[in-house]
Amino acid sequence: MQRRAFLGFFLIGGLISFVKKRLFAPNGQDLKKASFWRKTS
Amino acid sequence: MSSKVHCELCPTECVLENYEIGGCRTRMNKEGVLYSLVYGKPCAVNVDPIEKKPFYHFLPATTAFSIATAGCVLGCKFCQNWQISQASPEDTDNRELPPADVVRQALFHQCRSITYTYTEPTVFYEYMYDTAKIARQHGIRNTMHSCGYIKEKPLREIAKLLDAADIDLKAFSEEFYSRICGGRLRPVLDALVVLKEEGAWLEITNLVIPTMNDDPKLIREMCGWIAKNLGPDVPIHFSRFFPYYKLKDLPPTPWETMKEARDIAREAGMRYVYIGNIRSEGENTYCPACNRLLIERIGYFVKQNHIMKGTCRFCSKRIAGIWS
Repeated sequence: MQRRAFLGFFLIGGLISFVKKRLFAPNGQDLKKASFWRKTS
Repeated sequence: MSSKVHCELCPTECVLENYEIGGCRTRMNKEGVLYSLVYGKPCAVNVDPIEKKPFYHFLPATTAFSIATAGCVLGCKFCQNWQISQASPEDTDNRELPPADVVRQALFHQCRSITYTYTEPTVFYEYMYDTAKIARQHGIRNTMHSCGYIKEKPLREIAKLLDAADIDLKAFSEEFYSRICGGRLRPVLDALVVLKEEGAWLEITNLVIPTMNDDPKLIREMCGWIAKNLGPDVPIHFSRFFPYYKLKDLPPTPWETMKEARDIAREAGMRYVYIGNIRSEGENTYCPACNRLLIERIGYFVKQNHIMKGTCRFCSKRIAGIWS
């Protein structure tokens, strides 16, 4: 029982951290698409 | 299919492989798409006197909300801000400050303008553009201090949002740009002409470095080009060099050299020539018609100002600039 609670605690913590980083990162994202460039062949 | 991208922001025109970062350290190709690594992440945020930029003919005695991110399109050996300009964004201490927050802070600090400065604003082009757009909507002016090493199309777009630009013209020599800065002179001259055409108020800064770009012949050629192509009303700031970064073996520029540069510019017909980075009467503005003192400056601060509605208070001569 204690072991399950311990594992659950870490899993929930990890999930919160992941969601926070992915969804609530500053500006909604880490990188901004740049302007003035083109793909080369 | 190739995932290489060709950056068309500055004349270096880096061609980047997947996950490669450009020479400016701020733009990365990620799976065939170019991203800015510094958007909304300034490493320098300050409220400065506009005179510090230096702008001497643009809203004197006002403050400018000043921002910069890491990176630069050039690699000048004499860079005075090399700790942040020659660094990658992961090596600097950055803040999270999206464009709307920059404008909010500028309003809070009662700044009349936002200046994109310290490093090279071209490297945070998208951040500057979005901020400038919001600033305009709130009646805040936009200015930049740049090396002018940017391609025509992006420059014309940002120029429509700029009220003023101070461009570093580092020397009137392709050899100097290539050997000392890792760039070319021609694109900078083209950028100056574009800014003039687009109607942004223009000032020019020239850092005078002993033995490197202080040849009177070179300064004469530079001033002649400015007078002919940009007109005699563009203020020129001759800035005194201090040994930094990779040019620590040179002495600070002697006062006599600074004075000689100013004399050459005046002989070329330039009306507003200043000496900066050294306390002297060279910081003051004089009327080109009656020679009376119009703006007395002490360092970055204005002690007296006799320009009334853009004209000399004593003889009514129109003084070029943006005064209100």
